[in-house]
Amino acid sequence: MKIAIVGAAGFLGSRSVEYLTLGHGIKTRPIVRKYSDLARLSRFTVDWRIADAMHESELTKAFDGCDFVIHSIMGDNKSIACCARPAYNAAQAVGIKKIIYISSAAIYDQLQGSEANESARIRRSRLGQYSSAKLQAEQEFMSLSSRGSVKVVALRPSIIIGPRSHWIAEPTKQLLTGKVFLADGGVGWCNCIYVDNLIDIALLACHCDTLGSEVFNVDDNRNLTWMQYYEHLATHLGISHQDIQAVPPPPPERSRFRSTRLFKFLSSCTPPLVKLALRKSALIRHRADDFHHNHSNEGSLINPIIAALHITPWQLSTVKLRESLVYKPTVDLDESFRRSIGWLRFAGIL
Amino acid sequence: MLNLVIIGCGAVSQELHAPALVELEFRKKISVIGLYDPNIDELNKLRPQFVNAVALSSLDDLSKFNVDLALIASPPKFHAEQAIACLNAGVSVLCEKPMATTIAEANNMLAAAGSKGAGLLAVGHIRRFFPAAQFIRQCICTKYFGALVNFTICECTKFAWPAKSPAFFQRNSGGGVLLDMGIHTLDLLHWWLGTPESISYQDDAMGGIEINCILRIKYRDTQGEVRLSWDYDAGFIYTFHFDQASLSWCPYHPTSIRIIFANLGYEIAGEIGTSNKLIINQLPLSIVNYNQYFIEEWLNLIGAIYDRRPLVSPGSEAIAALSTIDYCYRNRELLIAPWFSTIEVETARRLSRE
Repeated sequence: MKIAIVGAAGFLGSRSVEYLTLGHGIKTRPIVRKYSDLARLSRFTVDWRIADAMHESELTKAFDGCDFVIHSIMGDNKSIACCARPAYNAAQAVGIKKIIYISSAAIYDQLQGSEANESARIRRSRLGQYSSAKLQAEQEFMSLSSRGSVKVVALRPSIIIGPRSHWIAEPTKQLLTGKVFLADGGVGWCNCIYVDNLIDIALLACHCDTLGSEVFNVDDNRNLTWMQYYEHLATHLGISHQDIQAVPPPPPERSRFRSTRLFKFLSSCTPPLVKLALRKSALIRHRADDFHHNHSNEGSLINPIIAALHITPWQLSTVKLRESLVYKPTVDLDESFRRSIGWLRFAGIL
Repeated sequence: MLNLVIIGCGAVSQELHAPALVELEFRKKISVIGLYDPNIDELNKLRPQFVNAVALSSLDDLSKFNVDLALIASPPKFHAEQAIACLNAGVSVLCEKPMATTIAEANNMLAAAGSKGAGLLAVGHIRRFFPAAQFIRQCICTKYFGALVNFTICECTKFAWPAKSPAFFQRNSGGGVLLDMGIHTLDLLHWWLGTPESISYQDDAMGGIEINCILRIKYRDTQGEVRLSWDYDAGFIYTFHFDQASLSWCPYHPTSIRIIFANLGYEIAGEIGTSNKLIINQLPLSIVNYNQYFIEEWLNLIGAIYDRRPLVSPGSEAIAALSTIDYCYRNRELLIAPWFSTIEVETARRLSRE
């Protein structure tokens, strides 16, 4: 069994190579865009390829000889949105059995209910640019798989934690500097998953021959609010979490209005210079910008996007995951933090 | 004016040496007459800057031209073979670091440089030209702030060099972060402190090359720890604790130094330099940035050819750092990542021994 990993230089991709090589003895083919991306992967004898995730012919060569593909690219929203077709066509050309596409739970970001399950109705027009791009890619993958020979399993994680995770490093820096600001006191759900657990799910999906093209929410079901997440992290770090400050929740108006068709139409009709002038006008300065200005300190994560995360009203439902793939997390919360903090020490952050 | 050929036209030549060589051509110190690189795309990138240079199809072509100097900036596994070919042809060489990938290769280079009629062999340890590095050497040698109690060195950043080939990451290139970045660090340590008494070394190569490593080094009178990484961003900082002061330096700021005076509660941060004559050579007063030290590196070699001035970084000294690296690789222990599961640790140990 050989797994091609598109986006192997990133946090999830590089841990996938490491974990599959060391923990499972599985051969991987890391695929990266440029030579300098090979650094972290070169600790192992790996059969890497250089390929652009937007180029079908390059991916076709890179996938050749592999059985599965884990597709986890970073990049600009346009690249994310358009990544499905070249990858799918390339996979089909060389007989890949299944693509595991790492989608995102960010596609639920306008959901108002208390639970997000895979059948929730999502309108792309109401989403932010990143969420929209991820959803577009996921939908295109699923559409292509309905007509093609390669199955696609899309996994929707929210907050992926683990060694080298931004969601470990940044909160730690905030806790260490006493600059922690949680929107609305961090009452929203932190739907987190440990990176190895996510890779285990990807492996399960590869191994499950009876599984067709499906979408799964993926989460460790810790039932943690953001405040509890910070408190757990602080406890594991051995530092106080008394300095965590609640700040007002972000105003919803901006994202709602900006996601409307009217806003997009008006925006497309407005000349760039007028846009610039409008942006500078105090009359229309956005409340979200004011929020950011008033509550952002150096080293703090409290920008409007993060603030919106802190008040996430929904928990990811993983009923389908548990029933279809009989999944149970292998790394528990304490161990997740222990290993992640081990990385912080390794990297000199602690 | 000396005739120079560039062997290896990749990122090091393009980004670091070409600006210096253009300036030296302008000053009529050298003339770049030849370019050699099997990758024609990379070679062509240097052509606009050196319009009089011809593309060499092989190093055998050296004999067809009146070549005085060669820059060797090819992947390290080619350094020895190319340097020896140049030295035997009477051409003086500035070989980029590391001078070779093995001690045996380096010894062959020194033997070639020592033979009758051979050119001079300088190695591109650019940091020796930095006033801050020269100042640290003076502080240690003269015990200006008292004895050196200990030191820590951190050179940790995600790999971002615009590599034009996978040579950095291939095991047959000789090594990873220790050989690439550590060679600078260890060269300075040899220059400052001499030969260590003992070294313990850990790295994270598991069948490939190391991207993280830790060295704990003991000298007769002091000791220190060196951490190197291509994996994470923890910055570049050298810190020396003397009896009477602590001194810190970022190696990418050739003249910036920070001194904390022990027990006084005061510190000073600023630019270091000499008033009218710098320590190593007569350098122009206009030195203002990192790249200009490459001009000084070339002027040092040119001065050594014309006036028999001492080389700042001769091959005979550069081999010491390579020797330490060779020792480290032969005595390496696995640097265990604390996030590995038990089975991962077992596999990592097995792979690291292969």
